[in-house]
Amino acid sequence: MLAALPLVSDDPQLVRGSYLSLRVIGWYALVPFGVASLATGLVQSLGTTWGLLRHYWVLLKLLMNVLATAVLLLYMQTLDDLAAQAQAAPDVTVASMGDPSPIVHALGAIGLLLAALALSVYKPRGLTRRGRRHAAATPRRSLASPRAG
Amino acid sequence: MLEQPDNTTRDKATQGMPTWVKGFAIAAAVLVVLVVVMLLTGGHGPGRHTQGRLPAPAAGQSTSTNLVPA
Repeated sequence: MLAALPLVSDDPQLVRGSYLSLRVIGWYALVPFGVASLATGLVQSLGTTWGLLRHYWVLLKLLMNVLATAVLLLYMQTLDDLAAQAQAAPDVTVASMGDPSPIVHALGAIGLLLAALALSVYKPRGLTRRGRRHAAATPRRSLASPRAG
Repeated sequence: MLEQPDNTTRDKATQGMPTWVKGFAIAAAVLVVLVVVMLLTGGHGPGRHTQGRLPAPAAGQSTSTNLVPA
């Protein structure tokens, strides 16, 4: 909503506030949480039997996370510029500063998050070459083996 | 608690690259091509959003605030 506000509003205070808020939210929420999600994903995959490079769905989520974090860090430059201009410009100019870029990037991020959510929930089958080697080297657990005790 | 890989389906999961991965790869390739085309045609990138909207600040004058890291 905040990203779309400059497109639909002619109120210079709202437009100015939107761009300034986007910059603060970007630096103090999106960037830290993006880096944290990358770190927790690495810990969870490396610390469990799923592994980081054994299953295609884990590998794809890693690539999506790295890509999204990189694009976010690059895009923060644009948000910085937009916020600086919105702060310095006169009201007449700010009122016409509607830029589709923030909402386009926000929609892209939502699409990526939904794809990552679907991968996490359904965990589609598929072992990478490394995963196949690991599976071949790992003895199978027998489902029929009785438990001790 | 994290789920564990299902060993009972491991045989089916060990045969080459699955179709869904190929679909993801094709979609990613299309997106990359689109972004590259937009970058080459000047329709994308940080400069597009900020050019020509305002006069350049005077020398030594900054428009940035102290709200965020530099």
